[in-house]
Amino acid sequence: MTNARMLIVNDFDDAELSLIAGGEVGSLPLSHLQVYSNSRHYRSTNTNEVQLTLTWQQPRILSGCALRRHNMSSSSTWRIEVFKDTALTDVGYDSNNLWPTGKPAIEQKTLGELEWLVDPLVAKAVDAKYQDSDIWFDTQLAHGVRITLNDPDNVPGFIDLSRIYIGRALQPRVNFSYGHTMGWLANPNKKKRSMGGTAFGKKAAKPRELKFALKHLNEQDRPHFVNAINLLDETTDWYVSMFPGAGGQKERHYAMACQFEVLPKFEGNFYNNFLSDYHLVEA
Amino acid sequence: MTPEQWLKDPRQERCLLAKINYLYGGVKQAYVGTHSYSSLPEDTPANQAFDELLMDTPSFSRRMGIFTGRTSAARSTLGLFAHSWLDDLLAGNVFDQAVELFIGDKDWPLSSFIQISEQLIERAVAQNDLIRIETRDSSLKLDKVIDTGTFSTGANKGKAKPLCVGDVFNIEPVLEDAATHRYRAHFDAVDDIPDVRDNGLSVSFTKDVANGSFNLSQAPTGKITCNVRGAKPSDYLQYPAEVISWLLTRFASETKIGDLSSLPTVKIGIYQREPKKVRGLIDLICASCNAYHYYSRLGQFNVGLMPELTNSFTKELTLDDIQENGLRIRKTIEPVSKVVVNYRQNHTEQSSALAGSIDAATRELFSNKYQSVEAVNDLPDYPNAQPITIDTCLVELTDAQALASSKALAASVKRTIYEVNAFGAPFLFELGDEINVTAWGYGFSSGKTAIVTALTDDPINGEVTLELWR
Repeated sequence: MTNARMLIVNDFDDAELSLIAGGEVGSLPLSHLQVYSNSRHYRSTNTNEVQLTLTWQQPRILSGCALRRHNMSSSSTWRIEVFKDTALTDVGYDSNNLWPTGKPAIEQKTLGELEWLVDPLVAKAVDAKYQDSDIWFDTQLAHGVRITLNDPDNVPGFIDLSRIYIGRALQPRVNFSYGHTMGWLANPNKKKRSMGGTAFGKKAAKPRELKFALKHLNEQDRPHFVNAINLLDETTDWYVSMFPGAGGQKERHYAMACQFEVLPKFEGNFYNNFLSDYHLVEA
Repeated sequence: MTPEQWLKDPRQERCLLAKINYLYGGVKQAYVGTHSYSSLPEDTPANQAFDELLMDTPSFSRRMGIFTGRTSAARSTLGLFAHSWLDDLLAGNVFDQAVELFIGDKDWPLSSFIQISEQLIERAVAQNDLIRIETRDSSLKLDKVIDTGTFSTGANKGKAKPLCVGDVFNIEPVLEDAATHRYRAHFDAVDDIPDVRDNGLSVSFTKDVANGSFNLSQAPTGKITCNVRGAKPSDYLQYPAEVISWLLTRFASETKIGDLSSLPTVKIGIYQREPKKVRGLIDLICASCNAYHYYSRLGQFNVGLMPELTNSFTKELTLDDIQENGLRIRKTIEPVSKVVVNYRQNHTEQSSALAGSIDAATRELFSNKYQSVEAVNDLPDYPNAQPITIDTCLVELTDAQALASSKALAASVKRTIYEVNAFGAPFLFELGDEINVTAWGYGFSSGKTAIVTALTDDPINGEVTLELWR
């Protein structure tokens, strides 16, 4: 497990996209992946293999990639290849070096998390209709990326994917401090009581809310965070994983596409040290 | 869980989806919702994204006049976040275009969603990053002015042709051609023109029923009036159901018409020298036969007879359906001393412009606007009770007397209008329903029935506000 990682600047949004395999539904095209919207997503016409490529004429620094809100099944896998050239021939990173048959797209429960006699040996860490997947790797200078999704067991018969985040994963040298919180936004609907005494309330969406403080940013950390945050605002979506590599439920509970509720401030509280509070809400 | 059970459960998270038509280089659609949603390949429309831009969700209100028969339109407003995805909608024309609303669980396929409304747009207004789509039910169609065509020649060139339906008395036809003394009573074929008068005296004429007109045999000396058995598109129209059906199909382009057979077979007569809106005529007809009209939430025109309390019911509100402090008296309606029903309208009041040879009784007939009947209530506890008068398009005395008696009976006791805020039951009730209410207060603790005279459905919050007449 490493320190928290944040894909704040999304290099995916200005990449040149190509769909190599898997097809697209006309009304839900690949270009939707570059738009923040949970309804305007990409939908494939094939589940065996969806392959897309990204290229940039100017080099990008990449160290992480996340798939946001996909409907892939428990047996699905994905692969990311990072290239140093736009022709996609000079490989800088290939996730298949670590996962030769593809990285599982669905995080599974760890052994300790399995409910014995209830869960199968392979069980989703989070039982939700839509899942996120992420992958972290050593920093690469890249001109191109190829992403391959495989989900032959997909029940609906198509792959839905809302968003892809890719870029430099900012990581503080000293992790966030204790006192961090994970919860849900309060239901905005007030309960009402009937004449008979029953209290009725209306269900509402439950976006997650993360709060943590980076209390030990030095001058090697600070510029990267300030420069990244300077490029966005409270309406921009990005991706955070507070416990990357922890595996199982903990990693998934603390990873999400998010927006700043409030843009953080950087307080210089003593020599060469800055502290910064983060208040994030699920996008 | 059935759709009705799901609708009635106030705890459900409700996803509202809207398909909004607009004109922008042809008919286009905007698809929006309260949740992010996309339809499945097997849905219609397939693979359609509904943008999560529906910020302010609509409620739907409508009301019936328990005495007037007039039903106000159901209006509502959708508030959309003014995203650039809606630029074409804002730039285009939305007037009179349809909005279809569907409700369901966000995880359901679109085919399982329940259509809750089909409305027509009156306007779209952008304000503070919000586009307000103001809609009303399909009764917007009733606000069209009846188009009977215009005269192409003569003294009244360019003016609308008159409308004449049923059995009408002493109408003033429109001069069509002065040279041939030709007058027009109706824009199209009529059943008969039995009598034409000049200053009240019958004169010789040649009728042209195929064209709703006649020619005098000699030049007129005074005011020309006539009696007509009016519109005969194929069969002669004289009863409420057939007249309303004709008005809707001919002048409002309405194709969704419910069962009108509950309307009584009472003879009516209507004449308009300058045709007005369809709504006014239907209001008049319904008021004349103790009925009311409304559009269903799916855009179908319906009628019903003014309900009477029978103390029997098929729907109810229990203590757990009604919100705490959710029952109150909205107003009381005093009984009336007398109901006067005006019928057999004299369409041309002639206190003057009558020939001197006309006898006093006929002169009286031509000078009064209506003939009248009345029904009196014996109200010893209400010595100051006031009478009411109802103008109708009825023709027969017996029908007018029956209406007066019915209205007098309904107004013979003090009535109360209650307002009830209920949970989770949108679209389960309809105007005119007699429902049983059990609630603390106002004598409802053991249950009493009352009639729904107004309702506001709030489908997203799973609430309904009812006005109940008892």
